[in-house]
Amino acid sequence: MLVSLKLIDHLFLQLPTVPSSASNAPCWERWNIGLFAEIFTRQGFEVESTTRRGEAFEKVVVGQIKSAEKHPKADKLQVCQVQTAAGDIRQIVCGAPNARVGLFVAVALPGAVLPNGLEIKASKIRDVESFGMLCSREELALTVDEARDGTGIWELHHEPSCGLPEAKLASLLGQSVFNALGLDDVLFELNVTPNRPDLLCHEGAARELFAGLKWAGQGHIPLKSWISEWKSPASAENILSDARERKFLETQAGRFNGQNDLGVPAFFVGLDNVKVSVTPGWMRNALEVLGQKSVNSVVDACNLILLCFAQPNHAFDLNKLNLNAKGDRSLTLRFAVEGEKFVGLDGKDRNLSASDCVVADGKIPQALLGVIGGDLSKVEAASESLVLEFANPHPVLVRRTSRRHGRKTDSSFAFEKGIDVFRRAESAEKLVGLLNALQPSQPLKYVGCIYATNEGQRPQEALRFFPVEMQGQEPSLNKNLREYTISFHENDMKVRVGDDLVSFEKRQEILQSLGFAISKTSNKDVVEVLVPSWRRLDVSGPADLVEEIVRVVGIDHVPAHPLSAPGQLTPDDAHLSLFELTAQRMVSLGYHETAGFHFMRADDWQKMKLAHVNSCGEPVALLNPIIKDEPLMQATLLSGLLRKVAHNLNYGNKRGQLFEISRTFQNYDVRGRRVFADNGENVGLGDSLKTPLTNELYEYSPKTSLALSREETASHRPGETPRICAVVFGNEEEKEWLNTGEREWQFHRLAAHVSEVLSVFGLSAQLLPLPADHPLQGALHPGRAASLVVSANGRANFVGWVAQFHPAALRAFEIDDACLGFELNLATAQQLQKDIKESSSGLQRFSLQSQSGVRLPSVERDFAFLVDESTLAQQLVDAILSSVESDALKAKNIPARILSAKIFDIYRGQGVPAGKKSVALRLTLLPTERTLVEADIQAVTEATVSRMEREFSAQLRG
Amino acid sequence: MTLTQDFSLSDVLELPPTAAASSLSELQKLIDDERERCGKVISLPPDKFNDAQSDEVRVRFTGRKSPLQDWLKSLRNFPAEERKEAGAKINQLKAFLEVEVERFVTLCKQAAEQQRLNNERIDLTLPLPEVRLGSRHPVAVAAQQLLEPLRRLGFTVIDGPELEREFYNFEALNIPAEHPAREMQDTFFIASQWVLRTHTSSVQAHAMMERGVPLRVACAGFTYRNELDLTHVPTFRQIECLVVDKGITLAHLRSTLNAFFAEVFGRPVKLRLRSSYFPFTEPSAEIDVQCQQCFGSGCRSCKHTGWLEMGGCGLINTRVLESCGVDSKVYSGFAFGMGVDRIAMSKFGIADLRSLYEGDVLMSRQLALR
Repeated sequence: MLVSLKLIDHLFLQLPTVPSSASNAPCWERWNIGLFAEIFTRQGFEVESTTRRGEAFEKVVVGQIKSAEKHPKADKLQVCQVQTAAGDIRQIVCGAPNARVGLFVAVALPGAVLPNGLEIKASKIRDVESFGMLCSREELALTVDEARDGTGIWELHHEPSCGLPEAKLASLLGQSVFNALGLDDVLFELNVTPNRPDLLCHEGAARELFAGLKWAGQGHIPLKSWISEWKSPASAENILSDARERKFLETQAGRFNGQNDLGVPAFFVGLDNVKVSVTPGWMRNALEVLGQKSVNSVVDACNLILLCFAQPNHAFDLNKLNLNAKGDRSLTLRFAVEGEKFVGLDGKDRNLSASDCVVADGKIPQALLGVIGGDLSKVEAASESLVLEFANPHPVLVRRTSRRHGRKTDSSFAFEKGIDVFRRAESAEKLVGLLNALQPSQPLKYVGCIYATNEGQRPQEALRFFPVEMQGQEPSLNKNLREYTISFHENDMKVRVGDDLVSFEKRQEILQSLGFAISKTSNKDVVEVLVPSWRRLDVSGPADLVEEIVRVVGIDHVPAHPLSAPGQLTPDDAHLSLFELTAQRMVSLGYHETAGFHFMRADDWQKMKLAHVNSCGEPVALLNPIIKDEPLMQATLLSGLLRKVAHNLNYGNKRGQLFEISRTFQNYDVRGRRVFADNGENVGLGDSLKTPLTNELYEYSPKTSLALSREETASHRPGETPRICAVVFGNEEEKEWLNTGEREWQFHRLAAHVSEVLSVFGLSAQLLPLPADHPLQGALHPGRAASLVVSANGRANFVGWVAQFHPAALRAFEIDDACLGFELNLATAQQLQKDIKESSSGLQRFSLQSQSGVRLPSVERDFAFLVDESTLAQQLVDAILSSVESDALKAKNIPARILSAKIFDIYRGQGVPAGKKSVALRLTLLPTERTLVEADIQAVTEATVSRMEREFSAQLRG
Repeated sequence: MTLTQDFSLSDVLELPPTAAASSLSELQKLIDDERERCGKVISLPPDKFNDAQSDEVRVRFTGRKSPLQDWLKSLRNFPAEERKEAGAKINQLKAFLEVEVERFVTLCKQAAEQQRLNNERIDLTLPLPEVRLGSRHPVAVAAQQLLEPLRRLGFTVIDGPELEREFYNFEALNIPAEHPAREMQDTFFIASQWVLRTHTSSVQAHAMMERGVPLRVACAGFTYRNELDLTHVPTFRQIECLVVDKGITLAHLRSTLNAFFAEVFGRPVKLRLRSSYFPFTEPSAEIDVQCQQCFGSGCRSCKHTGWLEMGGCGLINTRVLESCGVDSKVYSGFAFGMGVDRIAMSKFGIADLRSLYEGDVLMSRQLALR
């Protein structure tokens, strides 16, 4: 909301001046605008910008042409002697034909910089010296309307061009033009919160400023009453009683009546003897400062009422309205007919839809209700009879119409935010009064007022001037104000704020300064507060009144009272710290954490070479995606990460390790039921998304999603599953002087990383070949992919996969190098951790010390076995672990624990027969009571060797 | 054995003729010779001996190759009355040799080690090998740094759904359908009555309805709004804090904010509250923190206002309490919240918020947040 302090000062509140300032100083020096801005900001209306209008034009001054002669060397130029101060006459060459003796002009002195960037300097124009420039309005960034302003330089005595009488100008020679003509101004851009539509006008801004000034001790000047010369021939009461009685208006343009198919409250005021004139300069300036176009006295008056009071209205030229079937002129509030045409005041042709609301005459729409008037019935110089329309359309109707036609006007904005419906008649009175005052000679004639109503809908009280939210309540404007009265208790402040802040009396003063009416009650601690009409949408209880006081005093002045310690502490949601630990573990493994937008493109499944869009579960579709080709919520984090890999490669980052922890989403709930039946229909994916899932989902099953809400209906929520996905690209190690060469990433390195991540959850997973029907199967290398399976709860649980990616999938993401990665379902991991913890018999004590408290050194024993090529590593390790544990340690009562059994070398080649491999393993034992003796080691060796021979026909190598 | 010294070790270490003494005087002669021989060796410069050679010296005089064992054996040839004295003499020599030779060998080893170290050199001008540390995402770091003080202030950190019923995201928070406040948020819709949550405030409603009061909870998480430019991304993180208890006032909010932001910045900071409007709080305020770059005098990072906008706060609107099943006559509460991305941006000096979502390794390495 753009606020002109000059307009406030002119019509609503004489702004206090800084005592030491000169009366002819620009207004930003006369006023303490810092204080004003602080007041607005403190009271909840942040001043987003401050503009000092005219500040840049201090060197453009009032001058008078004393003589003008033809330039000796140029036909179109004149050499003027211009007085720019008492005793300062300077020669200026001017090309404007209207430069003439006696004319008061705007003189840009040397040093002035004009808005177009031109710096004025003393110069020679065709050999004649010139010490300045006579300016046109355009050169000073003012609007030019040839009808009003003529062409050439600005004639300062011309009133419609915001000028002053010549006598007055004579005393202003040498003063800055903007200052002298009173065009200097301070404009605040206020950020108005949606609960305060009353601040969308200057009256509202003035009220807030007044309350703030009063609190600052500068509120001795009361708010102004409306200018008395603008008294209306019809008062608000006249207008309303008229409307109640009359059924039609008898105007010079014929009989007029108003119809209403919408149930929208509206009334029409008829005016005759109208003489449309040129807008006075001050009014033109007031509108133009605020970015409004000045048209003529009537249109401008209507707009001024809107800017002053946020009371939208519209004037129709009665003579331009088409007659209806009965031969009357009429305006009807109705829905448009599909395809009906409408030309707005902006000259644009519009095709209307059946849901648009219009104000139509006997034939065609003449206004888009609440949004914009029509070109065909606009008020022009020749208009003589007017009808003023005041309607209260529903905010949503206006918003939709305005959006549909891409046209946001001050009027539509005011309706959308909520207007003061209690003061429609009053604003009509003010508008009629202003129009009357603008008549150049004879007064205009107030014909009367009628409601827009359907036949048979009388009495008129059925149509209320209330917002829709309040319909059904008592309609009267002045009676029964009880429902807008709040009992305000002395204690209301303290229970909310924790402090009185100011005395009860002061609190009442603050409320009064904002327009609330206070009446005392028999209880000195309670007052009755009447909410003013413009606050009835948002103020309804004592809490609201407390807020008003806090706003004015400054919420920053609320003291600090420490909160007492909580009576009991409850633990954080368990998964949060686990995910945090997971991220930290990834960082220590060298990965960089990334974040994405959690969306997925409609064709990402094809790029990933998946079987179907639903392969990882049915994705949830957005109704209004921000990026057109990303209409889905992610079902896997993989596509997002691959895109980031491509980004890195494009920008020359040749290697990297990336991970992301975030949620994936699917249109199935935890119980495996589909949630949104119309998922994706809006973005054209409905059919493919509703295809039932045929493949086994493994770790992408909706049943593994995380319960994030404890509401009773949680099971009907779309699944949200936290996952971690990681991708590595480039080499694991690059060649540098320290090593012998680069090292490529190996599958088993990634698998080791995964195992470290799972250990955060206390899980160890087995690597099994990826099932042929796995959701990600198409994206992964057929020979270098594995599922991660944890045995728990008596079954195999899929927690994720680790793999090298299929080059075809990588190419689809414009990645040419080999990449590896993994994705884990963290909800499953957390659930398994919980299950295993619950089923185990409590914490296992872990100690490296023996019972006597002695820490003994660990013992290593290496074996090499010749086994079949097909023997799996894990089988060997498992066999060793089990044989040592049961056949040696337990059977022979050897006091030791197995620390690890690891494969450290695999050899094929000379000395190893074809079809065989030599596997070297290292067993590490921790003695728990005493040093192990040769016999112990012998027992361990024998147990191992005999088991290996038995199970794998393995031969111990020498 | 090739020798580095300029004398012949083998000469020095040559065994004496295997003469066995049979009298004290003969023995004395042998002892004196051995003593002299040893004296000759250990008077040589120790740095001329490598480890093998010094070991050889040890073996010659105190080990396997020493003649002393033979001499002891030969004592049986001595007359009985001289045996004791002869034995004593040999042992005396043995003790002497052990001490002297050990001292000498140690000196040799030290000298040899010193020589080895003197020859070991590095090239200090070589580049350092790359160390591959990972990094956290700046916004995740900021979120943890904000949550930490909250935990200390007694807040329980909770989580909630990101796909949300309109009820939890709007109605329960006093934002009815068609309320102008809904326009403040560019909402992503996923189905009729379902949205991507536009703020973490939706977790407030879940907490009050599902966990009951009193409450002191904080929720950090992803939120979604339909906008994308230099300072807005559609997916961003917020932290929301909620206290509901008996007798909670604005003064409690103020104190909590003071304590919280002092912890966040590691020192007491000046806060400014400005009245504002949020549907779910009343009164509502914006929280400004004095710019920590210029301390209020105005600079680029605070756009010359001296203040940085941190978030919003207020007393929970009684309508919110009631719609979440909390008796507003008994309980009151406050809430405050902030956008984590914005805070991370100013903390790490990031100009374009979108760059945090590209996953650029170079960017991560430069920010190096671990």
